Amino acid sequence: MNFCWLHQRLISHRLDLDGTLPARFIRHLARCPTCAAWHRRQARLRERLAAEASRLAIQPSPRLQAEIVLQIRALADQPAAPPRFSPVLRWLPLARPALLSLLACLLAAWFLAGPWRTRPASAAGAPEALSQLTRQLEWIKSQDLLGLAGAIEKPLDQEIGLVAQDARRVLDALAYNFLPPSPPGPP
Amino acid sequence: METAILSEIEPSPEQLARQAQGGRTTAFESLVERFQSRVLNFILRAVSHQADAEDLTQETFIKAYRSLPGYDERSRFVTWLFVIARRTVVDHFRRRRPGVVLPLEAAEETPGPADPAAQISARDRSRSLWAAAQKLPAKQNEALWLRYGEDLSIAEVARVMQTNQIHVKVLLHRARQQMARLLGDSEP
Repeated sequence: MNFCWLHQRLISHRLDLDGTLPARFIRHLARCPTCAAWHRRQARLRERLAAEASRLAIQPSPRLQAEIVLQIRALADQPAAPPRFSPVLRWLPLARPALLSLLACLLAAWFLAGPWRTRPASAAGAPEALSQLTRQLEWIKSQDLLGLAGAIEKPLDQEIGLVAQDARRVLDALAYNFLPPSPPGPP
Repeated sequence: METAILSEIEPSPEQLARQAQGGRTTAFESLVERFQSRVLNFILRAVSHQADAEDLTQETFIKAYRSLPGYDERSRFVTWLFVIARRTVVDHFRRRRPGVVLPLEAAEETPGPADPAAQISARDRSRSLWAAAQKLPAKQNEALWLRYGEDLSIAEVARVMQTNQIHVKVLLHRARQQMARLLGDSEP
């Protein structure tokens, strides 16, 4: 398969760069007379284009430079034009992310402490009930809790003792009436 | 001897541009002196009349002076100047006749003459190399001039023509192929 078109394309790119050819292209040119002739024409054309460009250069008229210099000096003498946009607006693109972040924080704070949060129905009387409960707790704390416990437990112990005593009596009566007498003990 | 040495040390165009940015008008005047011919010949490729080309050259340098604060020293001054020159030419044609196909923006696939080699005699062939290039499509002609007439690199040509390097390589390849056909095969 003929790859001369590819070689010519690649060699053409090298000619447009600096004209030097890698070794593999040189080997191909040594083997392929068609590409070698093509390369000679293109290289010569490239040299002639560069050489003749300088000969074709047209010199500008003397007035051109004078007019340009005149206009430049007039521009240099003019006061500096005011900026088209306010300097503050120049910083707007940089401040935009900071402003967006601040706005996001404010929205989050408002959302968390928002007025739409539901409150209990006794919200109106909550402070009064709270103060009453506080008073009761204070009264409880002011009392002697250990003495109070003893005062509560003492009658209860007495009652339990009386119940135990009654139960013992009942058991003794039952034992006396229904159980056989116990045998006498060892001498 | 010191004068000879000092005269050889000329500031580069980029250094002059930096001085002009600092307010030195004389530095920009030196740039005008150095590049006015090149800009004029570049504009002449698109505008046939020299008087119009000189007007556009003047307009180019005025625009360049006003745009000096935007010049970045990392790119060559000549490339930046040619970008302005090209835009000036495009604006010129748009102002004159809006809606008309502009030479610099004409389709690159404009077909050439049927028998181009017959139109150029052997006597005129050596003198009309660039005249033959004028018969090429506008973009090929422009790319050819910028690369071989102004000795800009492929990247710089791409920047001036506001296209990519691959497109520039294609334009140059086609231009040289067509130039070879225009000039015939009578090369020694």
